[in-house]
Amino acid sequence: MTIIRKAAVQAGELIDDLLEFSRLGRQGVSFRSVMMTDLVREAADEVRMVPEGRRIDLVVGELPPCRGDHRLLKLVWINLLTNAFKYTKNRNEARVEVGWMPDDASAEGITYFVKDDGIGFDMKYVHKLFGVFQRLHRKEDFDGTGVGLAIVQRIVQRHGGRVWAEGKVNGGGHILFLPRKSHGMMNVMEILLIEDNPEDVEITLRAFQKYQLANKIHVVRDGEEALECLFGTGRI
Amino acid sequence: MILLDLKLPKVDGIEILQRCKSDPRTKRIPVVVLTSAREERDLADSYNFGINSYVVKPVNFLKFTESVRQIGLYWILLNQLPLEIHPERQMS
Repeated sequence: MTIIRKAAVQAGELIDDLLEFSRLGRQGVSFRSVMMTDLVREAADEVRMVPEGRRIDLVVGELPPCRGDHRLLKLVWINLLTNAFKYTKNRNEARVEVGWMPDDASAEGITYFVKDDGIGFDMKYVHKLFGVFQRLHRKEDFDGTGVGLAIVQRIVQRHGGRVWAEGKVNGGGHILFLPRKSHGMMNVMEILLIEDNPEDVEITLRAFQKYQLANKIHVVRDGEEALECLFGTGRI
Repeated sequence: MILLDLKLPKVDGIEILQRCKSDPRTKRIPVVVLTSAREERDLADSYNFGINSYVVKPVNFLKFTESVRQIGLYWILLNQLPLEIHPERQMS
């Protein structure tokens, strides 16, 4: 009886995941500002996995917010974290790290990632990773429906972005995604910086640049210039 | 958005602020004062004229960068602005 019940549960999970997957294509998305760090924490709370005798060290960095669909992005994190927790089963003490890095290619992109030190995978099969039902590990060894990463990819693509993976056999996995929407990803805002101290101007401009707050920044050094900029010929 | 240092040569920061907030073309633009001093007088005047925020520049370079980051993240990503920032016409 136990075997049949287990199969039924698994089939149920599979159907749920498939429904979720197909639903993604049809549902509307609503884009707004998303506080990613909070979202990751919410997702982590929802990933209810009871590791027997295991300890998972989840490190969540200070993630920049992005513009996207709150519900869908949460699903991304739930799937990525579920995978990370699952594929570190081989270790008693596992480390899962969630972080971000600026995108080399574009000024506006931010790449988020989930890194684990678990069983990893062979890069030879990386192209299979995001396919529906594609599994790189045996079902007996690792539970799951094989749809999780396909869902992640579908969602990230709806945000106009891309997801990719890096891994090593027994060397952990690293899933990265760049949820960039092609138009108006970040709020484009024109900023007038009225500052006479050149060092402060420099620091301020660098800070905007460093944190991917891509915007048009006009700098004026004194009150007269400021008024001219605002009310004169060059209107903000 | 306007990032305004109060200590400016030629025309004082408070005067800029007053001009901005009294002109219908510019009064919706959020003004964040980013200045070196925290003088009660400046704070009172600034808020009287309707600034949106007052931030004192940290002396430490790293903390300054962090402040700018937080200001940017808040005003650019979290805060909502009306679509028409510069109302051109008077509503009759």
